[in-house]
Formats: sequence, structure tokens, C-alpha cells
Amino acid sequence: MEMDWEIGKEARELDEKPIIERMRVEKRSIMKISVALLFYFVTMVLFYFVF
Amino acid sequence: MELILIIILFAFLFESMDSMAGMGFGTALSPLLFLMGYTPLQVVPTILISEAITGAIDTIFDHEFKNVRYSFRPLNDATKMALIMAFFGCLAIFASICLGYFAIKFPDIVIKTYVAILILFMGISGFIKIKLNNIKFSKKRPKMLIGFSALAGFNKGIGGGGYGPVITMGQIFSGVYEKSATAIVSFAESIVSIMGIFTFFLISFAGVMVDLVLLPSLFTGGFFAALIAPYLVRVLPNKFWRYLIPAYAFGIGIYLILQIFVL
Repeated sequence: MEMDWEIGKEARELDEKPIIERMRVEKRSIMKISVALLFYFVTMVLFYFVF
Repeated sequence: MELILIIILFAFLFESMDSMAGMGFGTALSPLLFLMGYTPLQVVPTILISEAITGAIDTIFDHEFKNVRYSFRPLNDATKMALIMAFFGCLAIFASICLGYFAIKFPDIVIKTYVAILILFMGISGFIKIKLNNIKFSKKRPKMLIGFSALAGFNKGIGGGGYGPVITMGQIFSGVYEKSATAIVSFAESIVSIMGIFTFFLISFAGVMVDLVLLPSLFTGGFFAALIAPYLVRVLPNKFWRYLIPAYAFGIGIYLILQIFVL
């Protein structure tokens, strides 16, 4: 690993923006949240049959 | 399938804190579940499975909400760091599960006291770091990070827990931005938990029976925490996390000491 790593660069830049900007959720993120929720329900259905 | 409300709430609370502050799910939740009367073979594998799945979800959303950026082609520093930590963690969890279940035990009170004091010390050092931030801790120290990963692995390997607090605070001492440090821990812990599940699967062939009755409840609480926590990390300013992380580490250290000497 280099001494001038860029870990957290985007998070730092985002921190400099106002809170309203940080609260904004992109359409792509909403899609991913929907897919995650679907994954949750499928997993719970699987648990129902296993346990 | 049984969903237990109190377990869901505990899982939600501790997974939220684990995702936001990089520590506490295993260290804080396991003793509580033991106090509620569950056995190690009901608690440990279930926590590992839950942590593997929720850690992966947390990793995806930390990346999505730009708390950290991962890249495998080419391998960037954040991904490299998570993989180094996961490597030490995997070695350690394999050793600790095998030692624990094949009856090779270290003196419990000595290990737990050592880990509790180490976490307390790291919490206090975190506050000292904030005070001295502009003097000598602002440099980036990748080698120090490898040392902390090995130390965290060693703790886990001897069965004392405290993997999350050591690697989170270790990253912060090494110069990693707080928001990104907690995100990287979730990624590393997810990989380590997968190794843990694999090891339990191996020892189950040796006749050790695991019981997954808590899994639906832990998974439910942990899942929703893993969705919400990365968003909160993004929205709240880094200054908040800079204080919360060492304070929470300090709190976990106190909790462990109370558990050893009072409860």
C-alpha cells in the first residue's frame, strides 16, 4: 500500500457538501435497496421451509 | 420458523452500531444471548452466518453511498486493506474454532481481561488522537495497519473477541478516514465470518451439532440495520463518527470488564 492512499477521498468530498446533498438518494440506490428487500423476503421464505 | 422480537431488536441495535462504529455485534451480542440461556452452539454459528450476509449487504451499500470505494480490477487500497484484515481474521477464526471445540482452552478470565483492557486503551487512545490530530497522528501508516490486523487476528484466535474494535481503531490510528474505516471493517468481517461458517461446517463432520434456531431473528434485525447504517454514516458528518467510535470502543471495554468482574 502506498503512503498517499486515496481511501475515503470521496467520503471526504461528500462531507464538505451540505447535509441536504448528502441525504439525497439516487435512483440507482433505490433500485439496489429494492433488490436487497427482495433478497430478504426470498431468504425468509427459504428459512420458513428449512426451520 | 420462530421470530423472537427481543432478539430482532438486539440484532438491529448491535448490527447498526457494528456497521456505523465498526465493532460490537459479536463482542456485545454474544454475552447477552448467553445470559438469555442460549448455548454457544446456538449463538456462535448463527452470529457468523448473520454477520456474513449482513456484512456483505453493508459492504454493498457503503460502496453505493460512497463511504468507501472498492475496486478489484485494478485492486485499490481500500480493497487491499480489507483483504489483508480478512486474511489475518480468517487464520484466527479457523484456529479459535478448532481450539475451542477440540478442548484446547486458554484461561478464560486472563484472555477476556486482556481484550477488555486493550479495547479500553484503544478507546482512550482514540480520544488522545483527536486531541493530537494535527501533531503526529495525521500521517498515513500502512505498516502499522498490518500490525493491527495481526493483533486483531491474534485476539480472535485465542478466543477473546475484540476483532472489530482493534481493526477499526487500528485503521484510524493509521490515518484512515473514520467513515471509510468502519466500512472496510464490515467488508473484512463478512469474509472472516464466511471462513467461520466453513470451519463450523468442517467440525460438524466431527460430530459437533450446531443449532440455527436464532438465525431468522438475528438475520431480520441485522438485515435492516445493514440497510440503514451505511446511509446514516453518509449523512452524519465525519466529526460525529470521530467521537462516537472511540466512545463506543470505551463503552464496550467497560461492558466487558463489568461482565468479567460483576455479572
